[in-house]
Amino acid sequence: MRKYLLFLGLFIGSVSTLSAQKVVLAEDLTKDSIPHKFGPNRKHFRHLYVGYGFVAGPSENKGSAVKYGESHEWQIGYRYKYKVGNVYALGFDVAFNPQTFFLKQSIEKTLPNAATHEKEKLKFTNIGLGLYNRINFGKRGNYVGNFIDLGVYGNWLAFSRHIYEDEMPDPKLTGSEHVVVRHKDLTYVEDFNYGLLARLGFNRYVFYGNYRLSDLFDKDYTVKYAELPRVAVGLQISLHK
Amino acid sequence: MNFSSDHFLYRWLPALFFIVSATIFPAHAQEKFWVVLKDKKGVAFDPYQYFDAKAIERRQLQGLPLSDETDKPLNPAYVLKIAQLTDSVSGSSRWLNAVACFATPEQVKALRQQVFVKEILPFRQQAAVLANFPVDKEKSLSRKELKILRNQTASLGAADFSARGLDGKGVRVAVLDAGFRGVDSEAGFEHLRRNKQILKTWDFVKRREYAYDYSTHGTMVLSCIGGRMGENNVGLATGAEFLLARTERMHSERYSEEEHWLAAMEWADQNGADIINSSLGYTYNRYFPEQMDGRTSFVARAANLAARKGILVVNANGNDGSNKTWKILGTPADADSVLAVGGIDPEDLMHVDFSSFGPTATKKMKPNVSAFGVVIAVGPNGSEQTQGTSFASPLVAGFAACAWQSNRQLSNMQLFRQIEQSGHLYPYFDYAHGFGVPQARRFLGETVQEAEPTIAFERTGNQLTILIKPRFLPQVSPDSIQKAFTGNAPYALPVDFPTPDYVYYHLVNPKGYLDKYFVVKPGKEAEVATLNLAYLKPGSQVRVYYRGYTGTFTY
Repeated sequence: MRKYLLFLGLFIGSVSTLSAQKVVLAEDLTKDSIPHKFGPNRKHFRHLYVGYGFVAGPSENKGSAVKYGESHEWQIGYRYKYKVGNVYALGFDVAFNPQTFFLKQSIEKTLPNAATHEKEKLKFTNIGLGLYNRINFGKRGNYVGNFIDLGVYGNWLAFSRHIYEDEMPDPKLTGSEHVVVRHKDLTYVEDFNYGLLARLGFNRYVFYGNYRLSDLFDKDYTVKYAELPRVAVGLQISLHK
Repeated sequence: MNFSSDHFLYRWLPALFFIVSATIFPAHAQEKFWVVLKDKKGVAFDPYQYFDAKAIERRQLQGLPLSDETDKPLNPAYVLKIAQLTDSVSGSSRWLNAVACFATPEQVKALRQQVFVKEILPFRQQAAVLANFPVDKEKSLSRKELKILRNQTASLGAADFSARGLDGKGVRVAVLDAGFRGVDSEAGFEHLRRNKQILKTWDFVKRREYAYDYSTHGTMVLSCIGGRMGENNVGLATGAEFLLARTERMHSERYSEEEHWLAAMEWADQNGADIINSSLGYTYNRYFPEQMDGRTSFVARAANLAARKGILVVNANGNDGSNKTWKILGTPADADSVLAVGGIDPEDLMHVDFSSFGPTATKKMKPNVSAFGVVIAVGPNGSEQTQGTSFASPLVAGFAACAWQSNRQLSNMQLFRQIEQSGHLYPYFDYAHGFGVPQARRFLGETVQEAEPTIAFERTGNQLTILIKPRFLPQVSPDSIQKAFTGNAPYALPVDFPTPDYVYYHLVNPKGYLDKYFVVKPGKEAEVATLNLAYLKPGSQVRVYYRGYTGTFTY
């Protein structure tokens, strides 16, 4: 019962319901009538989103060829939108974005070396900031609605891994059938990358495409690596109504 | 394929942008508009030819003119010109003197230059039907379901109407909904078919007479007005006449067009409807809460026009009560002349969480009244438990039909006010329940007596305490305190249906709007709440309802 009292005291200030009472319904219109600045089509809006996409577009050459369909990325992010007008808005998003490139194993492979394995992948975990312009179309109420976003992004490469897996030639002798090798904190990748972003949104469902302008691999490194595909496309689901 | 940075920037990116832009913003994108016309000059109109005899009778009974400017058809020369200037005319509204058409921005520009065009408004589309999905389907009712079925009409005073033989006979009710599958075959409507009480049907989406298809939402809604289930009535107006209009798409396409709804309103008027029940509700997809003022939306304006023609429009208040980003009613429930119906829980007659709250953006009280928001309805498999203010609304529409049958001299707005006054909380109200559940006795000429105060106010300095008088504490049987009403507040209306002994109280600011409202379940002590008057402005009021009595303290 005390919790109801405490709740009510905090809630209304001017009224306190006595301890033997149970509050069944309590509504405060003075708070409801405050003009709202936050909302899907208000001045400010923010929400979380999750996304999943695939690596697309060609590699620089066959030395850095990837397996399409398997090479993918995840996104978990926070997006802010500032409404300038009913048609135009701008904003930013901050995202945690792990990318995995599964490398095609062939005799032409050069990234990061010519050795072939049963499985081989490069994992890059980015923490990124995106800036975007949004153009909304169609009349709508307090609703995100349909839109296109165009903008730029920049990523800080927080973690990098080179992972490959091979079958052991003699499992009985070695005691295992497979061996997995992880190389961490790769020295031949750049700490930062950046590019362009485009999104086509239907309220909470957003199709996105990113194009990386910068190179992933350090040009000054002893080996000049062929670049991985620069494009990623996928679907984001915004966590709002 | 060359996909280097420079190549992408100069060749691919512009191409991609062009493709996306062309998809989203086609150069000659067609959108749908209402072209509102300035006048109906030179248009002839014969009400006897256009209206059903029942529509003429309704106007005569209420002392309304047989027709007015809004009943006349549109000027055919204007319509022809619009058809020439646009690609396609899809419909029109006599009431709003408007033509619905598809037009490109260039065509809209040309239309604006026409001297007969008053304004051009974009269409509003949205998910319209205010029902939650059926929560259960059963052919035989459980005890709990049977209790809900009986109480959904008993709570409105079914026994009183029944004792007087009031079942809506002679009252014509139009139901605007998403489809009426099974109405032509289900046992729950056999009496309507046998007695030819379904006078007309029209599918405004498919433009054909057959409306018994596509959705069972309208089926369940109709059952809550005049359906039967064995020995039990599902709704009160089992003797009413019905006009069934399919105006919404529900499953194949979630978006409905207000054009159909407007056309159906006019069709209902033409065919003599006394009451229109609708479960339409536009909310956040196209509007902001501050636009729920009863004037902004086209449908609210049309609903008010229907009321001006003597029709009682009953509309669901909305199902956004637990939606934190919206919470309030939709339109056209925001229209002044629409009887907006909220939902209550069958268990304790309290606001059910999904039922939208009021007030309107202009602080008008909504919902006006309440009824069960969880009901047993007739569906394609016999009985179905379902929920939504979609079903509270037809319960009240059925109530209104019986009430109107009891006194055909009432105008629609007199009936509207009397339904409000019959609410079990009246004159108390709040923005969750309105005036509460309408009670049949209000329409049956029952003598009204002064109520004995059940609560008292005790002021000490700046403290105001609400007290329950000792003999009215919850543990005291309410039988000894039944009373009736005088027509002036405070009064109490005997309520057949057992209501919980909750204390309802609200704070009214000097402008007459509620600032805060509460419902509490009292304990054993007499004290209910203490208010600090320092927070109140002079002229504010504290109003309390408890056990049929409403007391007011003015600061």
